[in-house]
Amino acid sequence: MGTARSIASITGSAIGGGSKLLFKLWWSLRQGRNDVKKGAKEFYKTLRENGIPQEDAKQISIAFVKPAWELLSIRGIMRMVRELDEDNEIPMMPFGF
Amino acid sequence: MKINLSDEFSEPKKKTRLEKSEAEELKEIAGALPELFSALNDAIPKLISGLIGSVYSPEAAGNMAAGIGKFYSNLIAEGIPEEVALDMTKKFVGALDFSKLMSMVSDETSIEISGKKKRKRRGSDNYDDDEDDEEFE
Repeated sequence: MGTARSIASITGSAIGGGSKLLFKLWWSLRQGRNDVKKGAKEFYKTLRENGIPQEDAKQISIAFVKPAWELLSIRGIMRMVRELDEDNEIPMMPFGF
Repeated sequence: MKINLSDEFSEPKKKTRLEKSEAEELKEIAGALPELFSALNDAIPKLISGLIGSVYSPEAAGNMAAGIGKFYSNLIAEGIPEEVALDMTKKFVGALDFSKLMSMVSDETSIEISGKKKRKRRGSDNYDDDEDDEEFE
């Protein structure tokens, strides 16, 4: 009886906690993207103020934003976690995700 | 005969002991799982906001752009033609390598969150970092 209750508790925690974690991750990625947009706008504005032509300022701003934009996705986060895992302790997910 | 009896009784005893230990283990996991999730719920938003805030906050981005802009305006002020100055500025920005900067910051943020510094493995196992650090100090 105790074992069944424990298994039910683990399953419940995994579903509930996992959903909450996924939501929080999604929310922080959204906020991060907003922050990056704000930073990029400021970056572009400052470049223009310093006399850099519009098209070149745009290209430089895109180069500035690109790495963060790539990181701020679920796949980007997964890639970062895999890079942090130097000892390969985290098992690969199915389908090479 | 005595030995046979004890064997017969010891098998179910072993089984119940094993079941008990498994049940205890499951109970422990069930108790620890919510804590683990709450720790992750705290750590992940911090990691992302720290990572983005350190490079892409309006202040940090403005400072970086000001540095690039100053480089360009100084070149112009020194009398370098606009096209050449622009080309030099682009090369300067290319050398900055923002993706490398991001990976550097992500390493720093992960260290701050985990609370300990992770050491990168080197090619040879005999290489001693501590000795090397002491030499430079």
